[in-house]
Amino acid sequence: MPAISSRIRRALSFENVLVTVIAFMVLTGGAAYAANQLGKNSVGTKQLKKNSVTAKKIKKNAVTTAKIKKNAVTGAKVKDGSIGGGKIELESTPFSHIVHEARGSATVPVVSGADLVLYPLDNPAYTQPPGRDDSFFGALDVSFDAGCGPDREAEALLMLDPANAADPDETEVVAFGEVEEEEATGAATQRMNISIYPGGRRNPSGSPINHNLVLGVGGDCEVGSGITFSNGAVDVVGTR
Amino acid sequence: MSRPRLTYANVVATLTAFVVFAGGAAIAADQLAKNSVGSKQLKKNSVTAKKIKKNAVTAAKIKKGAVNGAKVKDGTLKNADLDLASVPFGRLVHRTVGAGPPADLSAALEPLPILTSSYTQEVGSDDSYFGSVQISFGPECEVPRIAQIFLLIDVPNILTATESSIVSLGFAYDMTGAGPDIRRVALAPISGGTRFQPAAATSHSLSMFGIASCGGTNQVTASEPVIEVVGVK
Repeated sequence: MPAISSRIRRALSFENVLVTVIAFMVLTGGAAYAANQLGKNSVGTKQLKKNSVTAKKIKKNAVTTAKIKKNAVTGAKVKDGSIGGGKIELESTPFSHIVHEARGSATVPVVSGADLVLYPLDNPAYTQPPGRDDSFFGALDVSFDAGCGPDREAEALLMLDPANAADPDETEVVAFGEVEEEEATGAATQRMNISIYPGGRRNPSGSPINHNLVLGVGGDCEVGSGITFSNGAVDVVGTR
Repeated sequence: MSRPRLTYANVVATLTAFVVFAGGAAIAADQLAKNSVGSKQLKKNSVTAKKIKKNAVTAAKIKKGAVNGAKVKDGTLKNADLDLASVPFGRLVHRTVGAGPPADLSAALEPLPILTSSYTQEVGSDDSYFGSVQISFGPECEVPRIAQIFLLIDVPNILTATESSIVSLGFAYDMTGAGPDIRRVALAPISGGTRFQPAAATSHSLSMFGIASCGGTNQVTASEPVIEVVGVK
């Protein structure tokens, strides 16, 4: 009977060793080999396990608009305090907000006791759409010269679509402001606020209305003269 | 013709071939190496909702601007979701209430103590002022009995106030009643009472004063004042 060592030696032919090595490589390395060679588009929905796609597997900015289902985002998913005014389509919201701004950069002197003078606004025209109530606010800087003695006062009328701005009808006045200095002397400047005039709110109508904002200013010095208006500003606040 | 030999090599090679061809796919699928499935291996639309783990879609995964109004469920956004300072809607920006016993309005102009009299007007905000006060006419206060309440801004002492300091007013008139009477008086903005948007944040102090008169003995008190500032941008 041949020795075991000689039987092994006889079986260790080149052919046997090569086949054994190949079989070992194929069977042990098969998985890795297969994975590295997965074809393009070879993994479909069926191959993916439920909940297998975790946050780390999703690329930054990969979730685009088309990937998000309608109504999928609820308030609870929105970070608190993260929605600013710029994100909101204001015209469709029912909340009060400034819908138009008109500003003026002129310095306008007025003659004491004379008729109202128009203060130029750079953006006086605007359109009021149906279904929106508009209210009107504004401000002006009023400067009294030292030569304007007490009592001294200044006023401003904000008019909407006046037929004759020099002599407006009361229904054309939408906001009013005034300052009075009963005993003050010397040069002084103060901010005059313009707001709320009875009947000044404009209710909506069935169709858009083009409006024209006109700011009239005037003043009176008991003694002397010297009143000027500057930095005029008007806000229209709309509410649906 | 010679019969093929059943050698060791032939048997192992055949078994290997069988295992590889018949079971290879299953082995490969069950034993995919870590990180071996990349974008290229994924079919289009293969990642369905069920495959995505709960809370896996974090902010960083969402492209800027991807969430539009249609994606947000109607009626789910609440106040807390808004960055109020940048939202332009008219809203209550300051509220304060009274801080003391009823003020006796029988003698002269009386201040009504307020808990938090100061507030800051934000840049770009047009602020209007509202309020209310409870007025009590005593049993010996006969008609005509009148109370008037002023809300002033930036003037702690009414003696130094000017007309432009008054931002809102409220009145209680009683020309027919008799005996004790309690009523709530509302204060509403007056012409010029709105404070137009400042260029910089501006601190203001609010103060409330009242005065009253009766046909008989002056017996009028004011209590429970409330002040509300509404700002709109």
